[in-house]
Amino acid sequence: MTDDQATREREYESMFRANIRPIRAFTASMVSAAQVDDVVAATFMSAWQRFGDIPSDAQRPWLFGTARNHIRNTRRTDRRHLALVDAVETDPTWQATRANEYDGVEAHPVLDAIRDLDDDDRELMLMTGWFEFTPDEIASILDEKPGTIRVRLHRVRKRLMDRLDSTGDTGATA
Amino acid sequence: MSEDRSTDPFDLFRALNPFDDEPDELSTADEQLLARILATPVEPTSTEASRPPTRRCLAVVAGLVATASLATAAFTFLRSEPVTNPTAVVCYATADVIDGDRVGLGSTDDPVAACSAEWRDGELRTDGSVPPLVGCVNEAGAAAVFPGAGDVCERLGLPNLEQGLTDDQIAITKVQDTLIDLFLDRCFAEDDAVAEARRQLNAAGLDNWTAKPAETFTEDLPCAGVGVIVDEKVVIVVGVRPEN
Repeated sequence: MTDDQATREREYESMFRANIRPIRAFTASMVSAAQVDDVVAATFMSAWQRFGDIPSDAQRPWLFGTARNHIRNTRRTDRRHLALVDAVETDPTWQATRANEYDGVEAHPVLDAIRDLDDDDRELMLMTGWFEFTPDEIASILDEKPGTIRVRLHRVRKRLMDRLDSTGDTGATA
Repeated sequence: MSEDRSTDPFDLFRALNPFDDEPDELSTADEQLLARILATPVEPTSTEASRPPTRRCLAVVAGLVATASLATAAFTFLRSEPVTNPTAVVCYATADVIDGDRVGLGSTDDPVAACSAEWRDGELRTDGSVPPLVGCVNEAGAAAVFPGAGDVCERLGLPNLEQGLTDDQIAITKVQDTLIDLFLDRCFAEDDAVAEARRQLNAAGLDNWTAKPAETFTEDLPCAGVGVIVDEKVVIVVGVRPEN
């Protein structure tokens, strides 16, 4: 193995270890349990093949953008398959596995509220809340304008606050 | 902001972030994934695979690929595995598991032939031509069919598809197909749908399978859809939107 190859492997492994859990959690929130491994493997395989093109200071946004592409492709199915996917996605077993990004996290009303958001808003919450992307980074991942992301974040915050107010349970401790 | 920090949903969510203390240790599955990726040769960057060739070029390329495939097969050890999930097939437009366009299909006992039909129908390339196709097994244990030479699975880090299904796999895919057809034809109420699923399982001799309602039928989701959970040998009946 050449020095270049060894360096590439070492740097890739470091990126893999730092990002596999967030990417797996993000993917689990967006596709069915049966598809998670496929999306995660494809994302990191793509990163291995294109490692030289990934900006060293923006590895995580690159990985999220790539995972999103794969998730979108995974959802492109013909009508016949959609009948099955629709069914599976309404299945409580699937819903339970879909919520596994919350594994190891204490139950909290805000998680229930976020789980009930639509896919786009839940994706936004995960990116900003748990994966700590800035609005500018989210804009680059989603190919949107930063201003649009800020407006969407504002609306999601309001929606969540309304939901928590209406149930009277924020889970907040005194 | 005058909001109480402790009741702001963003702050509440951030406080629950499980990734603050990321462990250094990977799961066994992720260690295996990492090892498999690191063992995969890096392909030279090329846009050739994603650019649809002209019909004339395609004939030439197909011939070359077929020849190359035979030559490679003689010298390459190819790992082959049967599918563990027979209920879905994915046909890829390029040998690229991430960027390639794809079409998902229901079950079939011949994934390569089924994907070949998709190519002919223009679902994956507008001119309807069919390139050499190779069956692999994806990370979910389902068949994934790629265009390319015989070593395409190995290059993607996937096992080759071992053609053929067990009798039980064939039987459950037929039950799945039958139920999908029935449920697409007309709107089944929950009880009727579960009874039908049980009838189909019995008729197929799948005594170790069960059919269960998911109790998800609502006013908006009044018609039956079918889900197959292979690992648990369960056909689950769920509420879906009516067809038009």
